[in-house]
Amino acid sequence: MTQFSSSSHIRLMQPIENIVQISVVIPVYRGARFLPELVQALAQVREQWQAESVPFALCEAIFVDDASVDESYGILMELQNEHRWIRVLQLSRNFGQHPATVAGILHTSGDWVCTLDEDLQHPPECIHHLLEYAIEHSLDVAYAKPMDPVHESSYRDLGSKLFKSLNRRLTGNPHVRRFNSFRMIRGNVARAAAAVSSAETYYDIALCWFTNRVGRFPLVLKDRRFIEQNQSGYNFFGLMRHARRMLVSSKINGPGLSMAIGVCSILGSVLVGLMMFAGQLLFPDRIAIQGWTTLYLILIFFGGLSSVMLGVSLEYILIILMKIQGQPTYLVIDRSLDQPLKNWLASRRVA
Amino acid sequence: MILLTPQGGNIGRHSLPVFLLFGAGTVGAAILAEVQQFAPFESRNLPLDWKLSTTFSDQLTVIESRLDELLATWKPDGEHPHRLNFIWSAGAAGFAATDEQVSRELILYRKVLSSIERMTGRYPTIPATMVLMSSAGGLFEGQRGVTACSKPQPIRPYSRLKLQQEELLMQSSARLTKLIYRLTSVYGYIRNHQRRGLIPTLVANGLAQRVSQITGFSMTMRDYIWIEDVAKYITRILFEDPLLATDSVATLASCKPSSILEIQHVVEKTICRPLYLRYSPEVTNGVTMSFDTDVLPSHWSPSELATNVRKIVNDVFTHHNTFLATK
Repeated sequence: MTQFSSSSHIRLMQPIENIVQISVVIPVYRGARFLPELVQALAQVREQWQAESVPFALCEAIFVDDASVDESYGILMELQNEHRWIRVLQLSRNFGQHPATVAGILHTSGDWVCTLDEDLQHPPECIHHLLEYAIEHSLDVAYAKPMDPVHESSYRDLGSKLFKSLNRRLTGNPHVRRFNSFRMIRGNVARAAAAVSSAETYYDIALCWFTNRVGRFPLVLKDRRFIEQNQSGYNFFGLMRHARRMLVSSKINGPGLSMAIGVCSILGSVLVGLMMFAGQLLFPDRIAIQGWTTLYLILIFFGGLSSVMLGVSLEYILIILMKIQGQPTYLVIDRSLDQPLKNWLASRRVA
Repeated sequence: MILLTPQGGNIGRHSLPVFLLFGAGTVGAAILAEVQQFAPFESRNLPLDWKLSTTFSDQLTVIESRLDELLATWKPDGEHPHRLNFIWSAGAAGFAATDEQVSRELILYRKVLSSIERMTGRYPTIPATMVLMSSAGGLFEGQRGVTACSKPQPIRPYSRLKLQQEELLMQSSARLTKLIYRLTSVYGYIRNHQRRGLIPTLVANGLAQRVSQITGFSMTMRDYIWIEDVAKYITRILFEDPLLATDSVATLASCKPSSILEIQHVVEKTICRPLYLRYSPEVTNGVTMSFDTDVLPSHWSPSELATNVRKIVNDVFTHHNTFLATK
């Protein structure tokens, strides 16, 4: 694990001309009691960065109230009045974490967008670690990698791990295991993915449509709400919906498998058929009961053909589904802004 | 120039104002429609030809005398109209205007301001308001997170023109309530002979299956505001009481920056057709802009982009069926 940020060193650095702007997006649902502390932590981070004259700044924090049933919205409005850099959006009904995140991201204008949960499991003081890691490794997305079990509950952590593993195998998407809601995303990629996301799109899957430059930075993350109160933003059904959304947004490997089985069945049935035919010609007395082999071979052949046709149909449906989900043909990106920050990081290491 | 006179009646306890609207382009036409929806107004077009600068002063004199005639025979309600409202939403010079075009327009603007000073001077008992439509996109080009404290930094002739227009109005000796509204990128319905912004162009070209040329990057972000929101807001201020406007200079923005990619996606989803885009290699207008909510005046509430794009498409299908047949 690489450690950054030594404030005494930072002051020695030459400030770069353009300050990299970071927008923070926080979807909020039933998080009233964490909000003042979270805003205080964000304010401290902002002030610390300003004091240290680092070449990045927290330009805005967008809180998206996902129709919370507690007093979150009222508290957020008070905090917005206190801090000019806070902006509050209220969704008309509860849409879920991903749509709320998408709504927030679409209101950002920063060079980088950091998303985090409202319940303090994602420490704001670690935001710069993610940024620096992303810049140093030329990434577009840097996820936080929990160093220890987040929920300190074996079944909850194991369930999450198993599902991600299953999804990775089903979809062939190697980034699934990296997914975490504490992420630093290049602004243009974040907004592009948010722009194409539909109601059923899993936001991280949409990010993978735009970039393969995805990495993980190890951090200590703890779900305080779950550990202290055994409460989570998600109940069982919520988690199931979450899992379904991830699967629906992905292009699963099913059609390929179906086609492979079908082709094998067809080839197998033709091959066995030819062998049986040759056997019948050469050794006509070896088969005692006539007709059964032919019947089975016909069944296997047409079963295989059906499987191929099903695979082809599924492939077509998935192509249409991905198009509806918003999968892009391409995205032009400009990463030239990274270089000054990269140079600054390098000069800080030397210092 | 359009002179709008009320055809009698009151609104609440107030009698109706007289409007002098300079420029009936996208914004001017929307304000005109909104005013006429609000109350019955008679509209008279008075010539004010921007190309013939020699006759410009004469035409302004005609406008002044028309106003004199109107006020001399004023009947609708009481001795005088409730208020004189001058609205400047004119401008021949676009974003890419040259210094020469800008200087010419500034001369004409000065003449209009002098004319307004004369008109208001002749009727000191009638309160008057001047609304100047300025350009937030021009004044804050290339700035992100523009706040109420941000300073305009014009970087092209058009932007300098807008800033000078604002300064001239503020320095004017006319006895006016001066209101300056800096608009971000305005989009509205597709109308012939009107300058179209990005969104109506994408809708029009998308429906007609034409290629749209973009002079920015797919991730260039701008702040877009819906024309009806602007017209409704300004009309409301002018009909109620302009003195209620808390700021003499305000920015009308959505405060939600949208990239061209996002707009492309919204338009494609709405018209159910792919858009054919060609990004120009000569990007002259590709910088990102965004605005903080603290720039917004009170009572301003921008509407949502996707809903407005649907309105544009509905309007095309309702009113411009012939447009769809043309390529």
